[in-house]
Amino acid sequence: MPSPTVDTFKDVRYLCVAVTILFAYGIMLLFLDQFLFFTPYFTFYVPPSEALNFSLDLILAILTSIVLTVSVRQINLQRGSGGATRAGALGIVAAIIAGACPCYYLIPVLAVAGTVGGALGALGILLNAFQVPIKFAATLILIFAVYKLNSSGVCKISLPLEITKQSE
Amino acid sequence: MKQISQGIAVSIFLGLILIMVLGGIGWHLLTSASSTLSTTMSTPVSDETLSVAGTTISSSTPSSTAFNVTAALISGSPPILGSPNASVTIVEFGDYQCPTCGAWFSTQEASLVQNLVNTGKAKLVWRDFDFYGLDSVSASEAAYAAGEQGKFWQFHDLLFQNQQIPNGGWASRQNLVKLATQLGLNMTQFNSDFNSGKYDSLISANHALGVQAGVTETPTFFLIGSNGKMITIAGGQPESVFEQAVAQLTG
Repeated sequence: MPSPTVDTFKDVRYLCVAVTILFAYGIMLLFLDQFLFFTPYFTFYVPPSEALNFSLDLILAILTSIVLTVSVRQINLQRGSGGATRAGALGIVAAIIAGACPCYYLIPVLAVAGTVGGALGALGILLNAFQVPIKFAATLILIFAVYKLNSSGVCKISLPLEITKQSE
Repeated sequence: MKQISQGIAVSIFLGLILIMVLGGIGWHLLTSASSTLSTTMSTPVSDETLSVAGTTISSSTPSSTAFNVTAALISGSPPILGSPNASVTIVEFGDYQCPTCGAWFSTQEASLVQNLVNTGKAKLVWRDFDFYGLDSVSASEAAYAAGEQGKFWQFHDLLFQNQQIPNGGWASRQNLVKLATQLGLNMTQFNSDFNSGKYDSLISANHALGVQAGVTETPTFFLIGSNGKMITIAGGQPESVFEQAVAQLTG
């Protein structure tokens, strides 16, 4: 049984898109989680105590690139199946929700945000304290999205009426 | 035709994601690096604030003149670890409740002290940048109160060693008194200093100085060479980066 995920990555264009998303999102996560520094020198450093957090960042980046790319392809195939469109949209929404989960990155901004930062900062601090469970939740959302995309019935193509009649 | 328009829509969608990601990183880099290499600012903090911080900006300095961040960072009498004659000054802006500061303390500070401070290459200066809440301010006050008895750095270390979830109560005034007792301080003097409120203006001034210097996260370090050159290290970077920066400033 063909898998939409496998089919997507057989197409070089989609593979390039996935690699681009993987690098962009991965670099962003590693930078914001302070595993990657650009100033004053380019530095990559993972403290031993942060190995789990680092692994979750990589998993999130890989899953996000898969979900977004397959979702875009499913939407491109929307003429064939309404189910594929729905799954594609679900995938994009899931990726956005999963990406929004680590919103504790707001803390550096809120540090100098004045009175508004006080209330939102408290939320950021709370989220920051639970960043590993939050990333686990985001990973589960993305795994669910991959599952739904693979079972979205993209192969159930409704043939146009004329072709159907000809075959009869 | 429909396929082409779909292709354009997909390209726009992916392009927007890429722009947002790269824009976010760019913005963060710009705000973090806004104070590198002898930055001057046209809007200094108020003279009253600076006098509290003990900086060299005199009250006669007109507000329109350029404000030298480098001079302000190394002036006054903040807590210093190491030889006062060390050629490089490392000014750390931190919050005792900040998890990244705590992680940096437990994994990097000992190496930095051993390789740079104890060897006389650099001295470490602490300035508060309290933004996690009132417990952060209380922790800063307690550290300064311990400093009155010559134990600022011991209390500073004790705070980070006991750090837990921010605002979870570990840095409440009651617990800070317990930590002071643990350190063997004269508690009558400590309580008097701790509850006097005399450090509030200093803590506020340090925060204002940090904002002026471009601090957007903690910990942020400003490494200042004897020639006035400055390198900013934002975030909990490994100790090797500090060694590289010190070599660059002294080389």
